[in-house]
Amino acid sequence: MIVLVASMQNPGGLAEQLQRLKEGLHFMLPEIGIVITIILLVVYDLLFQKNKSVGLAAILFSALSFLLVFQVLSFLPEANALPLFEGLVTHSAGANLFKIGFLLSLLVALLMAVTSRKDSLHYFDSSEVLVCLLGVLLGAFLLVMSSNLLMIYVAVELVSICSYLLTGLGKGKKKSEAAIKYLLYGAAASAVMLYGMSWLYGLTGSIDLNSDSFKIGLDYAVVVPLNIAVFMVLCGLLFKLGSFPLHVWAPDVYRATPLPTVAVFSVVPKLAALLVLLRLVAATSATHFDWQTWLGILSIGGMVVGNFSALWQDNAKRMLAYSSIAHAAFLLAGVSIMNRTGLEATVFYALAYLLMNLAAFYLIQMVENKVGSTSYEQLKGMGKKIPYVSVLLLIVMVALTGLPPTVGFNAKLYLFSAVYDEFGRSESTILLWVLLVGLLNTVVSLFYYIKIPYLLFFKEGEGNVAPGAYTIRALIPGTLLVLSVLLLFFRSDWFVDLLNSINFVL
Amino acid sequence: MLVLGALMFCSGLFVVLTKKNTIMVLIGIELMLNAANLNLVTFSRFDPQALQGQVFSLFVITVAAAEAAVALAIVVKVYKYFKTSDLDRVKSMKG
Repeated sequence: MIVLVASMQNPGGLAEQLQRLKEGLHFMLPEIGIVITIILLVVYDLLFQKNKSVGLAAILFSALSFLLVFQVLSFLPEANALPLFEGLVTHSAGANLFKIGFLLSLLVALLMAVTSRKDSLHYFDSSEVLVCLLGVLLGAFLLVMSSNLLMIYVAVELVSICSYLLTGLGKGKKKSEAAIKYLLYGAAASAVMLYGMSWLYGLTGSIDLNSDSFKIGLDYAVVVPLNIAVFMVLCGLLFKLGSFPLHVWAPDVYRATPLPTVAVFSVVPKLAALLVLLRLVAATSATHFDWQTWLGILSIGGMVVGNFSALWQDNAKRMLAYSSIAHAAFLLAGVSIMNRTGLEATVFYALAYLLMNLAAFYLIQMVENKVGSTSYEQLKGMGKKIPYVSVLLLIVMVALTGLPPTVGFNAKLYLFSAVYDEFGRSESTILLWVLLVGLLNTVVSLFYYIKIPYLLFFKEGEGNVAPGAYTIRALIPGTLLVLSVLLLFFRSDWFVDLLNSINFVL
Repeated sequence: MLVLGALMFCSGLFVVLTKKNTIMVLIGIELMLNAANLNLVTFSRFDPQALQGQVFSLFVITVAAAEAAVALAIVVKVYKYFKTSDLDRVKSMKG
């Protein structure tokens, strides 16, 4: 693929091209690492007959920890964006920051799978689920780097196909139903996106978002077809972002899949799509497409739909699905600001969301391990039996609402103040509406987030479950996640300094 | 060619939105993908750098094949549990 694209863009000088590709490979080490891990897992699965779970887990955890350490060590905030493989992908500090987040979330998800007695068989019995999870990770890695329509399409499909498989793998009526819904919505959305991309290519004559001919082509393109094309591409990204109006698949998929997979779904593809959306917005600036209005409308719709639907749920997983739709809407509000402050506020919100969501899913998993289900009926009165986890869960729910003393508050504060600043500068009414609806929805979200601690502590359950104590080993990751949620409230300047120092060239 | 592509896309979208049978919906999606392919190949003629669109369409064909394989596997699974491929009758959960 790389050689093909390279040779079509720059005929002549094959040796020189191969040299450049070789230099580029150095920056693709994490991706190559993931591919090697996938191969190792498959080969291990084929070679050994029994008791594979220990070996598979060992390969996976060592590979992921190695990648995490490698990624953190090679993280240079000031690094300039570097186009690789003839502009197919761009190596940038922003993308690296997101990659660290993805690795962290996959590690937390796998820890969840290990602690759960019910799910650990499903995950570690053979290599299929693990390979699909790594496929999602690889797709997300490529997606955050991609700066070319072809690359975006291929990476989106890699993430999507692995997600369909993850939803469908295993026995169960619900799983198959959720998988078919997910697949049909996803395939239709990506087909629409592809058709939009084909028009973008036709109108500009280039598929490279950073190339000059793409920028010049946009200036000369006819307005109406261009807007339709950009809107179609937006459709595909909104689907991956799980945002209104392409969110309908989310609750069913979240309900049917085991919690560790849901934790990955709710964070990794979402944030990857967010970064691509930011890049697309940067590539086709306001003169070509009225991003602010459209993203504002979508964001308002998403906040209202997500928050009000979440009020009527009776299962913690479905509630978190609607909550993630609402959070996606907040992220879109951040994207619609379209300046440096807005970008930083959005990335801050995205990373805070990553931490909070991982903590929420980890703790819900711990509760599920003892209670056996995530329905509200079963949660009643459990607070007294598992006080420590319940208190942690209370803190995370407060964070997801966006109240102090948690990082959720800082994230919402930065986002809303960025929206307000931009409104004061440009006086565009849509931003005022986004701000008002956002504030109103924060209040609404309090009701359904606080419902879980309320059920845990103030309702009397039947008490048919007698949970034993948690092992210390299972408590440590949850405690660390909650501590980081709290710590980043008090020392949010660390985070902000980091974001300020990053060279965000998209 | 572009008109043909647009027609194919619209009929594909129409099929996806109206048909109730899973297989028909998949055919509609396939039509939409091929419409995009047609567009890409057509636009590729006017590309000064040449071939970008054609390479793109090759990738699309490959990815579509993979997607169709996964889709049919899932359809078989749905059929095993629901004994139907009618989308209106596959609902044990509310959206």
